[in-house]
Amino acid sequence: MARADASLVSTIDIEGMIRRLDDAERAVLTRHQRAVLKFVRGTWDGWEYAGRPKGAKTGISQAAWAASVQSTERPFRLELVNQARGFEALGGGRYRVLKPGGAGDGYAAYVHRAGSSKLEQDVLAEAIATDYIPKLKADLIAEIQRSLGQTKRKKLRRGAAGPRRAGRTLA
Amino acid sequence: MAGVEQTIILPSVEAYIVEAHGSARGLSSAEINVLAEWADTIAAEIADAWPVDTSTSRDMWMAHIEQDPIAIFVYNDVDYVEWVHYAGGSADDPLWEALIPEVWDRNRALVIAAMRDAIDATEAEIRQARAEGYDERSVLSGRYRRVRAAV
Repeated sequence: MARADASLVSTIDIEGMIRRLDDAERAVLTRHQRAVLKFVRGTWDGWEYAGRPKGAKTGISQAAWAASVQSTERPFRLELVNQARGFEALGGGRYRVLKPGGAGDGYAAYVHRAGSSKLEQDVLAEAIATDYIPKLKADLIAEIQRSLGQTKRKKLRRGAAGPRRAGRTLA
Repeated sequence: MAGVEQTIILPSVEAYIVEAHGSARGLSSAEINVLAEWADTIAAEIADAWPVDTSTSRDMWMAHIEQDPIAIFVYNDVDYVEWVHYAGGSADDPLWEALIPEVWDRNRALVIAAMRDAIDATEAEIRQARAEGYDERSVLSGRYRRVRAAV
């Protein structure tokens, strides 16, 4: 992640939970993850695009939101990231949207509404914490209570770091 | 190596935009939301089929939308993910290489149909916005909807 990429991390700590989530419990986490993602993308639009050239596309950072979960140990986690990289001029009034997470600078962390100095990711983080996480935690606890004691813990090993392996492009 | 990535380009969606709009244009805010939900579905279906023994890598299937070209980009940054295979298989036959095309094949027609509907809706909204004195960008950015919602 570049320094100016946006990141919204929510942790859900459930006291006494010493195993990873089972499939049904994890499904609760991912169901809420998708609701949060939908809320964030649906909120992240309507920008004024001051100074953006007429031929350049809009919605670059809206399209760049992605999310993961962490269901293997407490505290469990939802993480939304935005690694938008903007666009480059190709000449002749043409522009190309840069690949999220690729070369170039991030900017999503600095986005704010016209007339407001509050960063939009901070606005969203507060809304998620208030409107989504309490319900997620309650639903998760309810599911854990249903399935308590049915999962074994396993230890996973990690390998060495390096670039991703790319598949052939599908169409 | 660390992680895997897969680009799923959508040339038929780009072609339909040209057909409906009369020229190429970027995705509207509403179209991004539709396509992104499908990207989330694809990432979730991959994760659901992923071996539960590797929960760390299962949790890390992610997806976002790209615009040049229009595409769903699926990725997983866990460093051992490319070696994961079902019990009885081998690391020479990595699961992700077979699973992602399988999930995409299952969803392709639905994604394209949903995008055609979304494009038709955007074009109708552009016509309405123009009639009210707004420009195309106000629709693509989602600003037109916000203005209308506020009145």
